[in-house]
Formats: sequence, structure tokens, C-alpha cells
Amino acid sequence: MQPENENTEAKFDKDSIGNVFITALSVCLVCSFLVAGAAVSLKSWQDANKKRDIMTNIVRVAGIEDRDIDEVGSIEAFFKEPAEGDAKDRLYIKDILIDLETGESAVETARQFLGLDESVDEKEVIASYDQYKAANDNRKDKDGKFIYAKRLDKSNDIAGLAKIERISHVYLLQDAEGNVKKYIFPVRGKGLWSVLYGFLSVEPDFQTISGLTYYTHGETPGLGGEVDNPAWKKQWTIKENRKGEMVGKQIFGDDGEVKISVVKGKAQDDFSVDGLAGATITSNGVTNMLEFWFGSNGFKAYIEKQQQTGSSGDTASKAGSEGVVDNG
Amino acid sequence: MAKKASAKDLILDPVFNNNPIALQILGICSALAVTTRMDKAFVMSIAVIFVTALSNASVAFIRNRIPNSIRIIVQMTIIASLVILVDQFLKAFSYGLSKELAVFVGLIITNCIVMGRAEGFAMQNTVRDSFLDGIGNGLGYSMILIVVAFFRELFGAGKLFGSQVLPSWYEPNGLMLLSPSAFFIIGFAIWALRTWKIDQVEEA
Repeated sequence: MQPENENTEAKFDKDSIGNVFITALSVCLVCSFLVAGAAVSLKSWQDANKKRDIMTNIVRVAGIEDRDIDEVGSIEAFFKEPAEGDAKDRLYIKDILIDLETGESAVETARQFLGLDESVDEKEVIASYDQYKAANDNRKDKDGKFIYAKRLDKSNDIAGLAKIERISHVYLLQDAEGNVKKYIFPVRGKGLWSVLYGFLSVEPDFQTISGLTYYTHGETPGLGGEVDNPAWKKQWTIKENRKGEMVGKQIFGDDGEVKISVVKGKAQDDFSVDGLAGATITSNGVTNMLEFWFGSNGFKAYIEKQQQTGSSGDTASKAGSEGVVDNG
Repeated sequence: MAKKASAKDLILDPVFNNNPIALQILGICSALAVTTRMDKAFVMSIAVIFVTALSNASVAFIRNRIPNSIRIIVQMTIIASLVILVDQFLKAFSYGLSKELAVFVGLIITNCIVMGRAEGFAMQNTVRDSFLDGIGNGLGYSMILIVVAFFRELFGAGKLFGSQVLPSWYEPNGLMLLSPSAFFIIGFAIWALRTWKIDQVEEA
């Protein structure tokens, strides 16, 4: 008989109530320390990864391919301002902050939100501003209105967000001279189980969609999760047709209202996209969020402003009436 | 009382003689989903080896203290914590793969192999033996996963580890990228294994 390695605590009853509590408590404590410790110590790497993933998504939805990224060197390099010696047609992504209500630049308000003083560079303010944190901000002004956020009432809250931020990022894919090739808007909205977060890139006519991608969501794999399926995503991507023209899905109808939608079954025209089989609610969620973010509570003010004044050097957008883009 | 098993036996037995997937038929679910590519199968294998070995060792360490009434839950807590640990590591150091593997890392908690060994081996054996047994079973699982992934990626995409291996005239076999193909390949693997080790064939 091998001698027992453990102490023979002769009367130790492992099934006693006391031991049940002690064991349960000890196991829970040890495991919690382990898990929490890992989460806390790994957070900085994870956050950096998440940031990089978002940047990658922005770059991809803008239609940038792998070889362009290799040329520039890295995803991060795409977000840097072009230097003196760079080619005039080198594309890079400019991150700006706009007030959703007015469509104007909102860097100073963001500076207040972040509590940064004047010495902090504008680019840093923009890079540090997290619009999803702002959406949850509860600071109110003397009239009782949220300063950095906006509560939506039921009739406005098409995308199921309840409360949104006042200032949003917009990403401009432009060349060294400032000609904007694509506008990339952060969009989000409620699906079935989760809020889907993604980016929609739009041509300078603010009418043609260039691409759509979701970087995080919790929809059912195989059903709502098919928003990640490259075949479905391809429908949103602008492509060259047989005549050599670039065609893509169209956002606004003739009446200036958002007409793009995910329909049941097959898409019939440029205003519709194939529905996701077995995922009606997620499909409706996609339609709703596009309707929301291109409506008056979303980027409409910014788009109208861009169309009236024209973004710096952009010759594609012509001054037109609200929302309706000349197809001529 | 089992004979004192050598380290070599504990680690290698579950690979061919007592393979968790091929003989015990456990842990098949994730084998279907993550074997579309070699890199996914590889990372999943490492994760399962890690979790099974450490959960076995931890359960064995406190096996004389765990009350019977909360036995399964305690094992589950330990396994779940280890899986969360793996998930956090992946999110920190291999974000792309963690997104690809998505829910399947979390589902290691439900993998019958891990729980099965904790309850069936670690509760009755020493820390050292349990640790080695965990590695062995993890290796057995990994072997099947890698074999399946090898065929699925090779014939489903013409690639191995992401690099093109088959020449461009090869038309990728779409069936290989769907789950049923994994079932077929596992079936073939079981057949091959039992042709080699006749004693695994069950009595009719």
C-alpha cells in the first residue's frame, strides 16, 4: 500500500456544510483573481488591437486593397497626414469631428468633453474622442439638456439607440491636395441580439454607397451573423459594370428620403439589397440604421452642408437642394 | 488501484489508443467549425491542450477537498476560468484569429473532453498524472483536428496555412468548406485508425 501523500486529517469530512461553503468560496476567489488579473493586465494590448481593427475596417470599407496598404507600409500610416515629398495622388484618411445637428466642425466642444486644455493639439483631441462614450455621457447644461449627448424619443429612435452622441467622427479618404474621394461614416443600430457597429463608405456625390462593413456585433452566427459574409457585403460594394461605369447602391430616393433598404428575398434595384435568410430582424436593423444615420438625427446636416459649400477642392458634389442629388 | 502509468503512456495513449474524438467520440462539435483552416485548428488545439492540462491538474490538486454536492460546478468554474484566460490572451496577442474563432474558444467550456477528463480521471488521480493525461487528451484532439483541417483547407481552398499549395488550375471543392465534410473526414479517420488498431473495433 502506498503511503498517502496528503495529511491524514482523520476526521475531515469533505461533505460537511462548512466545507461546501469554504471550497466554493475559495474556488470562486482564486478563479476571479485569475480572470480579473488577466483582463486588467492584458487590457492595453486588447485595446490597441481593437483600435487597429477599427482602423482596418475603415480602410477596407473605403475600398483600399492589400497592395495599397503594403505600399504605404501599415494601416496606421494611412491615417497620417501626407508629408512634403509624397506623391500628390497618395491617399490618406483624415479623421474629423462634426456636430450632427449643424454639420460643422466640433473639435472645440470635443475638447471640452475630454477636459483637455488649449495646449493639446487638434489631431490629438480628435484621436482621443470616443463617440460611444459621449453617447453615454450624463452631463447636462442649465436647461437640463444633455451637453454631449442627445436622448431620442420613440418616433425618432429608428435604430433603437435611445441616446446618441452630439459629435461624431467622419473619415475622409482624400489625396494630398485635399480632394475627397470617399466619405466614411460610423453607423450603428440594433439588430436582434445586439447593436451592430460598422462603417458605411459613400461616394462624394453622397448618393452612391461604396461599401458597408460591420466590425462588431452579437448576432446569431449563420443567420444575422451573415452580415459578415463576403458575398452579402459584396452587394454594398461599388463595382464597375460592363460599360465601364462605377455602379453602387443608392441611398436617397427622388423625394430626398432615405430609400436604401434590405428587402425580403432578392434585391430588385439599386435601392435594395438581398435580405439575410432567416434573419428578418437583423435585416430590418440594417435598413433602420441606414435610415437613421442618413436622416435628420444623423449625418443629414453634414451632408447638406458639404453639398452646399462643397468640401475643399471636391469637384464632384454640386450645390443642390437638400438631400436630392442631381443624377444628370 | 490503477498501475502507476508512465509519463509516456499518459501523453501518447490518448493520441492513438484512446483518442477522445475517434474512440470516445467526444468533442466533435468544435472539430466541425474550426477546421476550415490549419491556423484556426492549430490555435484551437493549443487552447484545448492548455485548458485540459491545467483544469485536470487543478481538479486533481483539490480532489480530496471538493464536496460531492458541488463537484461538477467546481470543475466547471475552474474550466470556465481557464477558457476565459485563453480568450483574453487571444484577444490581446492574436486579435484576428480570436475574431475568426469567435464563439468557439468560449465553447471549449462545453467541450466534453475537458469535463470528461476532469470528472473521469482528475478526480481519482494525482496532479502529475492528471496534468499529463490532460496533455495527452489535448494532443489526441489536436491530431484529429489537424488532420481534418489539412484536408479541408487543402481541398477546400487549395491552401495550407494560408499559402497557396495547389496550382491555380485546381478548382476549390466547396463541400470541403461546409461542416458535413468534417463529419466525413472524421468518419474516414476513425475507419483508418480502427484498421490500424483492430482492438478498437467494437463487438457487433
